[in-house]
Amino acid sequence: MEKVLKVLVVDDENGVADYMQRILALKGYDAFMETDGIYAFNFFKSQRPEIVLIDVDLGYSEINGIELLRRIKEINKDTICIMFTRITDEDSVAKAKEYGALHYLYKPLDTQKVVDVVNEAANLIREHKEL
Amino acid sequence: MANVHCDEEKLYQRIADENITIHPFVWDTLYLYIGDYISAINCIAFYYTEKNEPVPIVDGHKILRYTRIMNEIVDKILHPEKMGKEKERLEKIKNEQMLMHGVVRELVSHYISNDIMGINLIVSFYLDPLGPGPIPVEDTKKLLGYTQSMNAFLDKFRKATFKAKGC
Repeated sequence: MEKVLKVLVVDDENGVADYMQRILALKGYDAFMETDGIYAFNFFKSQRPEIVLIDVDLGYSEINGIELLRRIKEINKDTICIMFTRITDEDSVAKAKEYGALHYLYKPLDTQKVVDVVNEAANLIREHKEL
Repeated sequence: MANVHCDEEKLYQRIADENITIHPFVWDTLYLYIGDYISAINCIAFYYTEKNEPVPIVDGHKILRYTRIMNEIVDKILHPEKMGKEKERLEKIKNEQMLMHGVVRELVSHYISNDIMGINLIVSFYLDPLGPGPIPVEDTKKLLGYTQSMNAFLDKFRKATFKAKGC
């Protein structure tokens, strides 16, 4: 039986984090959500999700999405990180690339596209494990 | 989902001919503030459509709240002169008088405001104390359509008006 992959959704907008997590659970993932960068990082350290979706703007959080990406990659560079950002925020897109994000999706999000990208990431992980 | 503006071609042509732009800071603020809410409505509608279940009243109220906030923000960005004491970004738009060209106001009001209103009307109907209750899947698909329509408009409009930093 295929291992169920853990996915963490990090977005300061509860409506996005909550429903994205529910949608990914519907799609067969072991999905979790956090709305704060520090909480998300602590969750990552204890649960080690294989895929993390991160909003660059984490509102009042102590660390933003780019810093969270950097810290996650420092602990495990194989974790697949997918960033949510604004198309107008070119600096964040550049930093996300630099720190090794697999994808960056622009807000407003198209949920179907997010699901497709997560499925693609899951396939990459499974292929990598088979090698 | 909003009907095509009757002068759409002419307005886009004016944007091109007169090199009409939107200040990058205004674009960034628009995406920052309404991007989250469009995304959240899209997520909620997508979730219940996938489950083939009506949207419960409690989640309908969340959608309604998002549309109200979006309306307020779009209105302030379109009409900075109406702003009172605002959050930092909006305050900057007001103080530095980053006013939008009339053509821009026309298109944003038509597409974004009408799509927000479309969502608001559907949800308000079901949430009304005398209304029928949870939002059925058929109408939830319309909500999805409105969010996709706003995405498509923003994308097309940004390409027509956005200038890179320093321009």
